[in-house]
Amino acid sequence: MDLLVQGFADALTPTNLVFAALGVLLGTAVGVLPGIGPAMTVALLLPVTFVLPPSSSLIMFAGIYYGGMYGGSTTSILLNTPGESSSIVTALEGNKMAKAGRGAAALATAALGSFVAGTIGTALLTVLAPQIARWAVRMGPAEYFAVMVLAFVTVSAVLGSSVLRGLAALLIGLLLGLVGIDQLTGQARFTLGIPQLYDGIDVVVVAVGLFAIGEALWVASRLRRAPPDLITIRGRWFTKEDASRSWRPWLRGTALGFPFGTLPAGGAEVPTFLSYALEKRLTKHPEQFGKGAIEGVAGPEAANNAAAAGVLVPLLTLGLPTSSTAAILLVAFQQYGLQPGPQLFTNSPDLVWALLASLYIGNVLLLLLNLPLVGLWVKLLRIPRPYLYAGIMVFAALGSYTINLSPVDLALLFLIGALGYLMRRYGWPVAPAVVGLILGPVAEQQLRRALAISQGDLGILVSTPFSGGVLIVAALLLVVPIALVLSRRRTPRLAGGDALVPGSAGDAGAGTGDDARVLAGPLDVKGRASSGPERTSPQTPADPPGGRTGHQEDR
Amino acid sequence: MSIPPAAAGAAPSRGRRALGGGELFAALGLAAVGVFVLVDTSTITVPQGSSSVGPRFFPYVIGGALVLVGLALAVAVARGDCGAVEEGEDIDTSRPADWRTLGMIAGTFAAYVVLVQPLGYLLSTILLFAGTSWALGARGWRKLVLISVLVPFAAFMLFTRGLGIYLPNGVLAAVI
Repeated sequence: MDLLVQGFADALTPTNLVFAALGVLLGTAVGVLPGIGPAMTVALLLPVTFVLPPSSSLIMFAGIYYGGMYGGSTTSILLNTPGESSSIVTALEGNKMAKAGRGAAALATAALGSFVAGTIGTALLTVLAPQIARWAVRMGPAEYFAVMVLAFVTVSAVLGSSVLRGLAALLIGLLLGLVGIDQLTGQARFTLGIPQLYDGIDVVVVAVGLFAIGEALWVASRLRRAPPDLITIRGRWFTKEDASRSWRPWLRGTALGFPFGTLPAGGAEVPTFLSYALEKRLTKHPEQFGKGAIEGVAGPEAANNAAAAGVLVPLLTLGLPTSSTAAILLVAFQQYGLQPGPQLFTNSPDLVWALLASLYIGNVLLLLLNLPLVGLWVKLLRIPRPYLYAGIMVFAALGSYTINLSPVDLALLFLIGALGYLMRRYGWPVAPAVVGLILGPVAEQQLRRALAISQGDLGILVSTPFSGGVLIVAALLLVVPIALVLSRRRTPRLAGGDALVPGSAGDAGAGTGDDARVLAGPLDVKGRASSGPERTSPQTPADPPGGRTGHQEDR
Repeated sequence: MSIPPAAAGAAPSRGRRALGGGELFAALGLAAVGVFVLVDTSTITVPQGSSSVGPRFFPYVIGGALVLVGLALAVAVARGDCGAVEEGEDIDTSRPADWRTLGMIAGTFAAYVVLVQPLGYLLSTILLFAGTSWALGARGWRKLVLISVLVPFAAFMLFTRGLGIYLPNGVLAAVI
């Protein structure tokens, strides 16, 4: 407790308050804007770690992270186009509410729900993280390696629409992470004789290339010429009835979101689907679902913010990023020579507690700034697209150029951007590549440390119940979806149809939420002709606002 | 995403079949990269007397996995499995790729890589911004020039004066 009070004292200095405010404003803006997200924004701002003290820049980055979650909901509600994949579900009911003249109430329940969930999530993080850190101190390299393998599998195989494509992306990231001097033996690997590659490919160049340049090229190749169809905000703000219908979904969403965030099954996406399904089952107004039910906004919005807080638990206590934004935050720590993990709490308690305190402050700032400024966020959506994407290109180039002031980095940035374009074109998710790039070298170190202890005996990897169990879970997560697909392919009509027809009112969202994401790709082979129409109907009673956005999350 | 309902029904199947073709090459390319990784790994020097697992082990695993995943994906694609093209609010997935725009952007960026040091950051970035906006369809000279000067200038001032990060400014170094 004393530590947290000290943390507040550090975070409430005028300088750090300014950086927190700057962070949440930037985060909301990039959450609203298409084409950029919190991961990319933090990546672009990594150069500030050269000039700012660690607490200031990490507080700002945390603000960007939380703000991005808020911003995504605004576009979901007003445009039916989720800025982030974790806001997909918000669009289902939120946009209907806006169309029915209840946009203001939808924005309010999203903002208040995010605040409630963010604050509860942060409180849980504050309580749990030190405990887990104390426990994690005893983890050996084999345990770390097992947890990292689990993170690789969940990020690439469980969250995307196609297991193989997720793995392909992960391997690309792992390979890019190998380039450079081997940290343990000093040998050059895959440098192709280019001296600039001896230091490795900078994470900023890869992340910004894949996210920003890749996205800009992808949009440029298929730019929609019509202006976006904005709904003006009207209607009464939050009424008493809205409040009484919202508070339970907020709490339930939080209860779903936080645990999912902490698991290395990362991401805020799954709990939003679960929350939507749950609210649909529990609501007293089932007739409103699909037409603008406030519960369908309140629950998922709370879930995604609670999950955002949950993701910080494995990041801070184990050094394990489970989303691409978390991966970039890990890099920010590394820039200061800090390695998130159990030692962080004992070695730099000031920093950790200032960061945790800043999360509470950030949540309050977001609530104070968001609703009054919603008009400004809507204006952001009207930026002409040529200038928006030209600006993204310029800032991407700037972020990469400032690292070494080397044109080689710029050329590399564009090549990796071209790779990002191809990945988008073929539906290979980008997030696993970023996580693989950042976590890969750490995983290799742990693996080699473990094998050095055992003198090369691979058995050490499964020698403790913990590491063995985690590896088995990872293997199951990889094998089961593939086996399911194979067994369904044999009887595509029956099995595919059964699973996807909306059963009872409630299970629809949950079932298809995961199911469709894991299986959509492979199932398409034969499933489309026979069960095409049903495939979209259960998940979304109305038009899906992007059920397939897959890994659009934090670009 | 916000595809008009009429187009939503027809476009995806047609559009996706057209997009599926090149992925076979991408998957096979991935497998080829895997083969390269396996071959190149065998040239990594292993220092004498180091621990049992040296710098080659992890690359071998990744190379092998690349080959396996690349081939499996190629088979899946050949059988008709095609990925879901990433969607977005500014993206019209029913259109074919606009290679003219992409070419102009690539050309502008290539020029930027060459010019950024001799011309300096500010001048070359103004060209990058203007070229990219133009390629993406910005018209109206006065606005284009104004924004193309203002945005890079603001970025330059923010980083050099605001954050104190050095950016070489080439020919303009004496002026600003």
